[in-house]
Parts: sequence; structure tokens; C-alpha cells
Amino acid sequence: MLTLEIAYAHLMGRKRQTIMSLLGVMLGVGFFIGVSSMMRGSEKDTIDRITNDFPHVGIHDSFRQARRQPLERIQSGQPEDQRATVFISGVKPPVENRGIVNFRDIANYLRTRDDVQFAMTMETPVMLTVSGQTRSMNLVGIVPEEVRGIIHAADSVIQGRLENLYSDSNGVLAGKAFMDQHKLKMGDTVQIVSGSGVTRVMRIVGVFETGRAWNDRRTLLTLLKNTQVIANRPGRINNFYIKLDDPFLAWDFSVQLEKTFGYAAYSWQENMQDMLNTIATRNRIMYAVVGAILLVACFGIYNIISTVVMEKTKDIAILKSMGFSKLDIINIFLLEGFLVGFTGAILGCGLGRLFLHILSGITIRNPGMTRPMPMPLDYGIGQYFFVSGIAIFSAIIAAYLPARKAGALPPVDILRGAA
Amino acid sequence: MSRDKDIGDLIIRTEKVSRVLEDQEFPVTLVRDISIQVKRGEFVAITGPSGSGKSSLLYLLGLLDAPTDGRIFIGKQDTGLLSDKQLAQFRLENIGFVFQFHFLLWEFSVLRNVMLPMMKLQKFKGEEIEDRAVMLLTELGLEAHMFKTPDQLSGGQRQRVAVARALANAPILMLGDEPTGNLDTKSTANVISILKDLVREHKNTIVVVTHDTDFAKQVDRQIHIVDGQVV
Ligand SMILES: Nc1ncnc2c1ncn2[C@@H]1O[C@H](COP(=O)(O)OP(=O)(O)OP(=O)(O)O)[C@@H](O)[C@H]1O
Ligand SMILES: [Mg+2]
Repeated sequence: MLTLEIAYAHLMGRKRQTIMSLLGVMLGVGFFIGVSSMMRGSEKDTIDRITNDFPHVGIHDSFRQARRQPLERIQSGQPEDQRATVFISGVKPPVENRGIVNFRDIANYLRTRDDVQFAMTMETPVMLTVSGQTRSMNLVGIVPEEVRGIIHAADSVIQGRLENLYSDSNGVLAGKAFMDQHKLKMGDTVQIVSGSGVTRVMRIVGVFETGRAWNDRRTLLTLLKNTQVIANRPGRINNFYIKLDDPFLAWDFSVQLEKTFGYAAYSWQENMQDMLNTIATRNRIMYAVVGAILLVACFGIYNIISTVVMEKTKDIAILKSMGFSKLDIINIFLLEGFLVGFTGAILGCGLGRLFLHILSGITIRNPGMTRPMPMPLDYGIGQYFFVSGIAIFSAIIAAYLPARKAGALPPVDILRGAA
Repeated sequence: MSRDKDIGDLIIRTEKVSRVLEDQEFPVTLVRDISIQVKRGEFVAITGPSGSGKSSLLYLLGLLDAPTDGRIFIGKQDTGLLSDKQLAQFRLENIGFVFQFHFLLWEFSVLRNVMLPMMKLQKFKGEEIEDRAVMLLTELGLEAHMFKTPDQLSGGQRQRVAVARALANAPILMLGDEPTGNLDTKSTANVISILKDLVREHKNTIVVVTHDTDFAKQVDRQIHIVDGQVV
């Protein structure tokens, strides 16, 4: 292809500048891939961990707003409120958790959904005394065979087994961080006191490690009936842990549940809204930074092609006198931009892959994590195509201005000037 | 070098052609009311004092510039009716240029320079292109220099390469702007005899601008220009 041959010759005639432009594009593309892989990797990892570790929807025995009093309802003037004529003085939202009253209805409804798994718990804060120290813990009462895949701590048992709870009626499982902190070992006992004043001595029959500090330090797992006794709520539960096949449906599902059953239902998206916002902001920052790198690379391309056009005005006049049209000339210089963009993008993809290789060998310890993890990276092929497309597109745009100038050069002026 | 296209006997015919530069402080007339004819197989020299408008006329004849008034026919084609793109294509097919400075593409070999117009037009295909370039260069005595780049040649050799390139697509018209203006006596004689051969033996049509009175005497006809007008 003739155009290609000429374009290539022009670039080769300015090797050093061509190489600098190539490096610009290559670094831009390479950095983008490295950074984007880290960003997307950690985003995916964060969301994965959130959706693994936390219920997708949680129903708690509380209400978002205190229920309206009968007087309020009368004054609202709405037809369905007209019958609410009873006035009760001193009505206030319940201070104590009484548990979810209609939990059987909720459970029955959830069982009709194929894409839903759930577990019911009774949770209560307790004060724990160990070797003279007192600290507050969250005692989570579970039914062991219900919680697999739903409650993260129950899935992360590293010593003993969840079923040990059945063989010791005072058994609990504790987090590894908690165990280490107090130099506890399997079989040791701790004393707990509940808000309702019940005191029990519990024996550690298992250890879990979720990697999440809050879980590993503060959570104790025990049988559901234990917490019902300790919290003095026999036969009640106060939490639903719900997992959906598609975690991204959680928001809508929580709204629906809350509307139907009245109790506050929180989706993971709602709980993690700040974090999701942070991720979105972080992504925007990344695109801005990498966009700036590519912009600088584009100046390089603009620069080399302008230089070539200026140096090659004579050649342009020759080609035009030979019978090359304006468009033919423009195409030559656009192709030069494309060549720099394309080659730079290919090299950049190689560089990006190299970055990923190096990054994959690094382990980091995030705040809030109890052990170091390999850096989460996204190896998706999509980002290579995305950034290469951007690089090539911008390279062609950068080449367009000088190319158009070259196409518009009147050959006669050049011939006259040179003769 | 076939001439089977129906182009008639008049290769060039101009009718009252003028070229005025309007975008200056005051308008500059480069050429005025030029009406000339060049027949097929003629070797014509355009002569005249410096600044008289010889180059300007040649650029008009070569369709590199457009007249502000009058009409130019090449063969039977009224060139005023062609779009920019069609003009480029018309030049590619029908007109070969040689300039005072050789104007070869520096990055390409001699052979490649001669092949370029053929690769663009694609009238000749594949192997034919290289064969024809080799043939032209051999005819012009450059067979030993085909794979050199232009900077490895002498001025006379470069000018012969330029002639070979101008002939590449077998144009109906060859135009030269002082093709010997930059050469020593020996090379000048060489280029002149090559151009004469092209007319005598191959029935080419050639129009050259020249200062060289010796050269001008050897052609079929001279068109003398003073102040942009034929005298
Ligand atoms: N862009 C321009 N602006 C103003 N005047 C111009 C321009 N181009 C050409 N001229 C003038 O037009 C006239 C004709 O120029 P042209 O180059 O055709 O002369 P020429 O006969 O080829 O001269 P020479 O023999 O020196 O090459 C000259 O007087 C020149 O100064
Ligand atoms: Mg001149």
C-alpha cells in the first residue's frame, strides 16, 4: 500500500521523535492498564467481599420512623385514617428490641422465592469478661445448618467445627483476632452477661477467621436457643440474613420487603453507599489522570506530525504535481498518526501486562484486614481494547490538524518558493 | 508508450488565459490573455526574461494552478470543468513534470521513486510496474543506480531520474520548468538529447521553460513571453 509506504518512510526519517511519541502513547496506555486493573480489581474485590461477607438484605426488628400515633392519623385527613379515633397517651417507639413479630410470615414469603437464601438469627449485645477484662461483644444465635453461604463467620471456621455447638450446650465460636488478643485457646471458657442480666459461662468450641477486623474481634457465634434464653426472648428472632443470586437486585428487594412487612430492611448497597460513592469518585479520578497522560501523548503526536508536514512541504508539492489529491495527502498524515497510536497502543498493552505481572507479586495489608492479601487485580481483556481504542482515536485526532494543513498546501507556492 | 486514447491532435489549447493574484495588497497579474496551441509530438520551449510569467504559465498548463479567466484544454478535456479530485487524477494519468531541482523523494530508492506514480495510478499492475521502471531507467542510462537513494547521485543523474518518473504513467504531455537550469554543460546536453529522443522516437509532447538559448534553438517552436503576455 502506497500511502502506508510513504507514511512509514516519513516516520522513519524522524526516528528519535517518532520513538518519543511512541513512548508517550505506550506509557499512557501502559499506566492506564496498570491503574485500571488495580482500580477495577479492588472495586470488584470490595464488592465481592461485601456481597460475600454481608447479607445482601438484612431485616431488623426496628422501624425507620416511629409509627404514627392515632391522633396524627386523624389529623392527616386521609380516608383510611378516619377510623383511628382512639387516643393513647404516652405512646412512644419501643425502646427494647422485642424481636420481629411476624417473622414466620416473612420466612414463609422468602421460602417462595427460588433466588433467595436466608437465615434467621437472634442477636444480642453482651458484656464478656475474660482474665479480668470486660468488653462488649455481639452474640449471634444461629441454626448451624441454615447459615452456610449466608453468614460469613460461619463459613470461615479454621479450628473446630460449627456442629460442635450441638455437643456443648454452652459452646461458642470466636474470631481468631479475639483469641489472639486474649491468648485464648480451644476449650477455654469466658463469662458473658446480657442486658437482661443473665450470666453464662461459655466454652470456646471453634475459631473462625473472616479477615475482617470487626467480625474477628467482636462476634461470637452460638446456638439460636442460647441467645433466645440469654436475651430473654424465647421463640423470637430479630434478624434476617438474606442472600440473592444476583446481589445487585438487593436494593429493590429491600424496598419491597420493607413495604410489605414494615420492618427496616437494609440492602448492602444502602449500607455501603459511602463506599460505593468513593469507588465511583476514585474511578473518575483515574480516568482524569490517565486522560491527562494520553493528552500529553497526543501533543507528542501532534508535534511530530506537524514537524513532518513542515519538513516535507516539498514532498507534498511533488506528490500533488504527480497526481496525489488533497485527500490522498491528508490520508498519508492521518495514517502516520494512526501508526504511532496503534504501535504505541500495542507496546502499551505489553507494558500494561508487565505491570500486572509485577503487581500480582505484591501483597498488601489493608486497614480493616487482619492478614495481608495479594493485590486484587482485574485481568479483563476489555480494558486493553478500551484504552487502545482511545489512544488510536486521539492519535488520529492529533494528526488531523497538521494533515489538513498539508492537504491544503497549494503546490504552486511551494514550487515557486523552492525554485 | 501507446497513444491510443482519442485525444485529437491538439494536446494543449488555451483561450485567453489570465491569472491574477487577488489576495495581495494590489492585484498581481502573472499571465494575461494567453492563447496558445501545442500539437501532438511537438517540442515547445517557453522563453522570456526572469519574472515574465513562464513558470506561472507552466503551472497553469500542468493544472497545478487554475486560471482566473479563460479556458485551458488538454486533449479534448476542458480542464475548468474538473473538480480538485478529478484534476489530481487527470494529472496522474496525463501529465508528467520535471522541475529545475530534481524533487525526488529522499527516503525512497531511485527505482521506487519511478514506481511511485504507477503504484498510485494502477494502470500498470504488479510486476509490470517494476519492469517498466527498470526499462525507463535503463533507457535513461541509470541501470547501475536503481537501488541508490537520490542523495547518492549527481545532479544530472537525479534529473534523469526525474525524467523517468515523469514518463512513468506514459503521459500525453510532459512539462519541464528549467529542467537543465541547475546542470553543468555536459549533463545539460545529455538531458536535452534525451528529451529530443522522446519527441522524435516516441512522439511525446513536451513543453519546457528555459533560459538556455542553446536549448531553445534545438526545439520545434518557441513561445516568447514578456510581462505575462505572448509576443
Ligand atoms: N505569490 C506571489 N505574489 C506576488 N507576486 C508573485 C507571486 N508569485 C509570482 N509573482 C510574480 O509574478 C511574476 C511571474 O513569476 P514567474 O515565477 O512565473 O516568473 P518566471 O518567468 O518563471 O521567472 P524566472 O525565469 O525567474 O523563473 C514575477 O514577477 C513574480 O514576482
Ligand atoms: Mg520560473
